[in-house]
Amino acid sequence: MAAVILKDITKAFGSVIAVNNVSLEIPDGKVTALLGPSGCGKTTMLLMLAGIYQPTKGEIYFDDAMVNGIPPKLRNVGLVFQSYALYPHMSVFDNIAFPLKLKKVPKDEIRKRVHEIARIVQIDDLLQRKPGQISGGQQQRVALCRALVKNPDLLLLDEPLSNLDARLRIETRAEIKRIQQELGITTILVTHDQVEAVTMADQVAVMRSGVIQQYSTPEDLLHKPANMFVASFIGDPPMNLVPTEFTSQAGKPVFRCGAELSIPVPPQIAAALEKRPNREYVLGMRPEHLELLGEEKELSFSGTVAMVELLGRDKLVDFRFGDVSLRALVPAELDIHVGEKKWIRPQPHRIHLFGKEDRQAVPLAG
Amino acid sequence: MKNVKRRGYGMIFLLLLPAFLIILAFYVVPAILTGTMSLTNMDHRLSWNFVGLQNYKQMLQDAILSRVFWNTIVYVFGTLLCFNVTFGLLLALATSYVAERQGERTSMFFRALWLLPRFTPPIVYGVIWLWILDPTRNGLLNGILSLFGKKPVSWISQYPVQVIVLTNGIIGASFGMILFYSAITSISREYNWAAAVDGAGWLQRIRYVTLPLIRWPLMFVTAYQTLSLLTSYEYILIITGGGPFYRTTVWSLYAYNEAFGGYYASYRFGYATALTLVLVLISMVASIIYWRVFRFREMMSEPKIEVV
Amino acid sequence: MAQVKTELQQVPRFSTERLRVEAKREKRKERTLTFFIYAFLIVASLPIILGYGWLLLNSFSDTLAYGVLPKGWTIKNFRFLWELPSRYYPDLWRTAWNTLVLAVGMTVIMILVATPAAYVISRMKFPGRSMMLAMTLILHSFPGVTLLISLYYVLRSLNLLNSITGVFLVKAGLMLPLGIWIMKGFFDNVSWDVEMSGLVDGASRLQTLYKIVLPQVKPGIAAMAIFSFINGWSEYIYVITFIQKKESWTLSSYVNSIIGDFQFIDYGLLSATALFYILPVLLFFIFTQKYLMTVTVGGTKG
Repeated sequence: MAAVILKDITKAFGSVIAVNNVSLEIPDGKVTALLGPSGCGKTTMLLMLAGIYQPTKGEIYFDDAMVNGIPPKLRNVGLVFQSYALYPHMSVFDNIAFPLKLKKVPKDEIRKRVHEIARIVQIDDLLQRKPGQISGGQQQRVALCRALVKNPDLLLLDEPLSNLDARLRIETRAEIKRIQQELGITTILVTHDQVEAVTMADQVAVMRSGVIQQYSTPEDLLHKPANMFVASFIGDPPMNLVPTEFTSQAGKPVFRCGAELSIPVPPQIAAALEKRPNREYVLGMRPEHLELLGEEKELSFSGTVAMVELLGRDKLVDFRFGDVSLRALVPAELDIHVGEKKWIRPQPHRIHLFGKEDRQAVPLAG
Repeated sequence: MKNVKRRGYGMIFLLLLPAFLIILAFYVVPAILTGTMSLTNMDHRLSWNFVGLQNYKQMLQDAILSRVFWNTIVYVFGTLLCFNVTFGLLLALATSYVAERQGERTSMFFRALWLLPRFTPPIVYGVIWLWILDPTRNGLLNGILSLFGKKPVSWISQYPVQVIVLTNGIIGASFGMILFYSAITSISREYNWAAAVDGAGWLQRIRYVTLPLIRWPLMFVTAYQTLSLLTSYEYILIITGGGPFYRTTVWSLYAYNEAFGGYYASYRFGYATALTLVLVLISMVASIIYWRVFRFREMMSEPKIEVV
Repeated sequence: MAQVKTELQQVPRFSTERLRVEAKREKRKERTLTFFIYAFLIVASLPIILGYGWLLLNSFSDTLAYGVLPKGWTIKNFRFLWELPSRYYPDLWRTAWNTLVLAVGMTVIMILVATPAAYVISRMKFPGRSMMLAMTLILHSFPGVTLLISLYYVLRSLNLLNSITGVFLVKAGLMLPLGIWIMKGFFDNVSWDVEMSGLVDGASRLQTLYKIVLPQVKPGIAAMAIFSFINGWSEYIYVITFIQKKESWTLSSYVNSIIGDFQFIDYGLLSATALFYILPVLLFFIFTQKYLMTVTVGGTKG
């Protein structure tokens, strides 16, 4: 298996810059995700890794070998397309065997390897069918087999779960992870679904308009977002983001968010902010980090419940403060009704601040 | 309400009338007349002498006709297989390769070039070939031969069948080329990418992925062009006239010559129409077969031709 | 499972040198393929390039060396533009005019007749509609040559023999089913919603046809006009069969005669007249070729 290094990769199509000066180091044997909204350049990155596109600038290395200009045939890469791209006129067996047939592997060797990989991916009973006769989820497994049968050094997946329904997604997620760990193959997957990325990958690179926003573990993305885009993109339900002013009220430091909301500032954060010249920020708090209390406690503020949504395991409670809306995530068992007055306390270590202009995370000691 | 409806039908009637009249006069009536004429021995006097099935009996005894029959078979299938289908396919593949690697403009140049003969007035196309095949040193081929000190060859008299196959083939190839090119380039590029990642070079991709996926256009062109070739004779008439000595006379040309000339101003309308009716019969049967096979397929294949 | 991994994994990991060598080999294979493909295209296209090139060059040159290379630039081959090649020939410009009338006549009929008919068949309900569609297809299986003879009879009876009018009526008649079928296709693609909203806004059926539907099928009409014009201009068989009178000749018959009389005598005249004849089509072709290639190729030529 191989580690992949991307160095200053830029890809332009005419005047459109799809990928803008991206550098990434992708570790050997692990799953890395490229996450971003549609059109952010992630599929282009995948195709450059496969060798279908050549970078306009920059170099790609597989281990120590620079692979710019090396055709896909020689890169030993497996690619699973979002549409699977199974050859409709060939049986499942022939589809999977195709890469081996092209390498002129002897027939019984082919049969052995196809059956082996089909067993690992659990589609050995479908080998004689045609792609048109099997379901979407099964097609994907076939595509996976075809990618894996030549024992590639790198596995590339383009939106592996997007075409599947919710139930199948959970199963397939686990399947892919299992197979990847069994074979220990370096895997790069590309997706717009942050749940997909966060659950499947060891490391995630968030992309937007061809630029990497942050490259770290899923936990870090969730709890230490580098900028507002990452903060809002990751996490479901999305983070509460409120423009705010760091000021004081009745002698105590508060975040003033519009006319009707003042949130008390924990001391360590206040201390860090005193030193800064700015007073205007965007405040970020995840719904799951907002505690609801029955009575006033330190560092809490009050609000009236505007709406309650049941989300299965949790409830999403909506508070309105004039134009500002805050959402809190609580367990479903909690008894809560519209119109109730509640006290909200944000967890002090889970408060995020972003620069109002540059949208970058403000470092807070705490 | 009734007035509106009647007015509506009135408008429909009016809009359809011209088309109806023209098609009636110049298509339907002639079609019927062809049938009835074949049962006469009409000649240039245009008199209706009904003679029953005599023309058809005469066909069975016509010695030249059996020669013509074989000429037609050779011509149709030779041109078809060598040129219309094979060459058309090769041209489509070549131009799609060029379009992929070098860019659209070169590919369009060649495709436009091959379309040119199809849009040229037949007589001008004939002039060009008559020059190329000119039996004196002034022709292209013989001119080139004279460069090497060889004697001129009388191409049209010596290789008449090859000549008609070649000249019609170049025109026919453009039909296949356009159709196949469009079929090849409409194959989703993800299949091409998948094949590249699987390790296929261009030739392998064409063999294992592209060709199987254009099976239906291939069959369609073959079927459709068979019919076209069966009834085409314009270029043969211009370049070889059907000779020498009936060697390049195909069925449709034989019928034409029987009616309007050729070597003897025959005006044997009765016999000629009988000959053409045989063609009509074959045409109709073939049309019905295509309709059932291809239209049905078209309706069926909506979800299937390309899986995604 | 680990066993699977090591068994299949006999290929050593990436090394730059190995990759370079293999990539070079692939590049060489690709270069060879490109060479052969271009060679094929050029050699195969040679007859066409040389043929049409000759048409152009020979018309402007005195003679040809080795049958190929032009020598001596001249325009004397074009003297047919102002003098008759021999006294049996009709006036050239009269002939050209006839050709134009044929082409335009056919185009006009096709547009004026096929378009409304196609509109009706595509977008209106009336009894006998599906029968008409079936008829169109049945008629299409009567190839040109079979009707030639009876058309002679019909034209004779209508006293339209030896006239351009007769010829373009015949051609239009034979092309109409196809034209209607193609235009119908274009009409089918106009969305019903648009037409219906026109009716709702108060327009009559005729007004919606004129203001809403027609503009949308303009490309179809344009395509049909182009094909009809070229087809009419190029017509050979019907002209030489139905028109014997020299005053009604078209350029097809003219060039046909030139071949008969001058083929081995005056090649310059031959190519110049042919070039004159093909000129409008050639110009047309050059300017619209991109467009033409995307529209399906109709016609039943070999």
